[in-house]
Amino acid sequence: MQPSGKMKFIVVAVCAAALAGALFAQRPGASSAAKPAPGAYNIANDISIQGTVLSYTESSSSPPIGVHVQLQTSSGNVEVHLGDARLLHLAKFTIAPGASIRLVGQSHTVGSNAIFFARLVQSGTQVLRVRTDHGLPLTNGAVVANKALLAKSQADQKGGAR
Amino acid sequence: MSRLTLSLAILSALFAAACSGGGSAPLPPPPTGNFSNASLKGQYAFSMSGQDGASSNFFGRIGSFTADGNGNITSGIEDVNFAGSGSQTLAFTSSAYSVQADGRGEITLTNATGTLAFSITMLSPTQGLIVQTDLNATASGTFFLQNPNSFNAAGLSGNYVFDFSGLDPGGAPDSIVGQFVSTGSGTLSSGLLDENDNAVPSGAAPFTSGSYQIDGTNGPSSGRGTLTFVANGSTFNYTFYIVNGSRVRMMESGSSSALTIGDAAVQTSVPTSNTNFNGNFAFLSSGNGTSGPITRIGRFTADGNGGLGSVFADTNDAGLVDQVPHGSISATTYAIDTNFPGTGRGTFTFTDSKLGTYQFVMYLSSSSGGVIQDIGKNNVGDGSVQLQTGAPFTNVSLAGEYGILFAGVSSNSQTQATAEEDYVGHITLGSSNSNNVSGAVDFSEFSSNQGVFTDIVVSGSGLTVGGDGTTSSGTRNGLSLKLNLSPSSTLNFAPYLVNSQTMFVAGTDTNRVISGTVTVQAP
Repeated sequence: MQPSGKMKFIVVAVCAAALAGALFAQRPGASSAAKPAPGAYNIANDISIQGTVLSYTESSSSPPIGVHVQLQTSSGNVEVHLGDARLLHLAKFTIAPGASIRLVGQSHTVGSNAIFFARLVQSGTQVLRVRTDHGLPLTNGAVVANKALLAKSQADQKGGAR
Repeated sequence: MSRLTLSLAILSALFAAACSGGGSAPLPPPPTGNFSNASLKGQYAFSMSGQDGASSNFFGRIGSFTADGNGNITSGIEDVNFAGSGSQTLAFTSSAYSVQADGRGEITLTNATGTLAFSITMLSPTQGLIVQTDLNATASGTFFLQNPNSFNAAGLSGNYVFDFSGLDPGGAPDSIVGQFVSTGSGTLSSGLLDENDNAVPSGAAPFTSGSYQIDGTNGPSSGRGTLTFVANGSTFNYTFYIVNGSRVRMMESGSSSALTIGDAAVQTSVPTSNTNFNGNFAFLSSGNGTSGPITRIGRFTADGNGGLGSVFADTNDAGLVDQVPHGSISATTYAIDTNFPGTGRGTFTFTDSKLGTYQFVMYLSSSSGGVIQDIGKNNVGDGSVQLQTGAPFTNVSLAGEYGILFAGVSSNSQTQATAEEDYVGHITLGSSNSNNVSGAVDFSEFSSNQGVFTDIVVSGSGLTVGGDGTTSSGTRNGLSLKLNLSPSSTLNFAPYLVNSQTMFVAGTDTNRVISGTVTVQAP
């Protein structure tokens, strides 16, 4: 289905702090539970965590590809994946070491590492949605349909002009 | 598209700055082969998608251009759609192209907003590969020789399988695969689709209505038209360009901000039971998961009784590269959907105890293959499944001239950027077991400072064929292409051979997620 009214555009607008508070109100105080969620991404397992940015990189040497943030929380350090850097640039969303940010998402195991997949990120009064409610990083360039593949495979072995 | 002009100016400045330093790279030797400007003659329908340089938005373009066989583009038209911004129709004025002996070349297309530049590789006089290499955007796709006799309603007649992918109205990944039956007179008499929108698979959804019409103004000269269908309570609007009686290129258009793009290709006799689907198959799917961009490439043997054997695959989840089997394999099944006989719909699945369950919907265009959709949990992807034929494969049997097209996303540790990249080029595969590749490639890599690279020499260890080349024994193939930049870099792939003319490839490097095809050339 194509829900026409859903998720108006990739970039969630800058929100007022009050609205941000509402967004992050779900499962308050759950920061100590930043442990890998079982199975697939389920929004029901989302938690909120808050902390100080220790490092920010848009090209981590460890997977997954995308923005990684090392976050210092009251429960320890958390490796955060924010998805596609282009989205942050598009929203002019800046995250610098030392900044305090809040996140909504859930932790998953990537290889042997626990990574917190952020769905929402807040810095100051700015809130950005970086994942869909099914955990897919919002992006505009990573949609890589099999362009050559499709063209080749879809019966074009008999292709060309008749 | 003034923003493209602005983008060009900005990026050209960046390009000049970036190119002021750095070392030199070798130039490719003079091309050899049997292609020339005369190889590109007639009307061609193109389709490509990618990333806009200025906005980073996903976009697509489909259209038609006419080449005179002598280096001139005499006319053309395109529909271009920037996700979230809607589509527009633009006419091309006189432009130019060139084709070298190895099939590589350039095309420029000029419209009222400026000039677009593309690198191409011809596979034959009837089809080619194309990448936008002008820094305005990076995009890749293909073009096919059109048959103007099909530029009418009857030109879209019969059973078609389709595969569209892109973004839903909210910007989430979306895949739509299915089948429709066209009367040839403006009506779709039936249809069935599976949509995986934001990792929510719809299941089989019959069309409740469907129609199309040839564009009264541009249709007779370009094959352009519009098509609408309703399924699962949603209305889908597409612009199309007819290639011939066997293929139509389609892109979502109209008032919706959704953008999916792909082809519909004619469907012949399809399996109606598990018995009719058997043999060795290779598959490739790409899309998105919770980690980011993903690819699944592999092979299986369908036993004609709903079971899969010899399942082997390679996966890349946003740089986390793995192989199936990693743990033990179970639940290896497939099923031709008898609820919708004649549609070609089916499913196949397998579970790796360490990596999880892989699930796909397929719409077969024949018993030899079709399109697939990844419906694994939290995945959205699409691609192809094709019968493996011609084994055993060896370096000797595969030696020849190939066109290559890869697309995906790379992460650059120097620029700290992640962005789309698209490669097009030509390689020669030799008959030796190692260091058997040479050629040249052009590519756009928007994660780099330079953005566009042309005439990059390809060398390296090339193609390694394991076992009989089918991977049925678990012995894998490999493909390694060294790009002689300064400094050099290497693209590593898991290749799965479809036949002696085509291989599916998916990148196995941790800093990029790319996939594509390596296809034999036939001048």
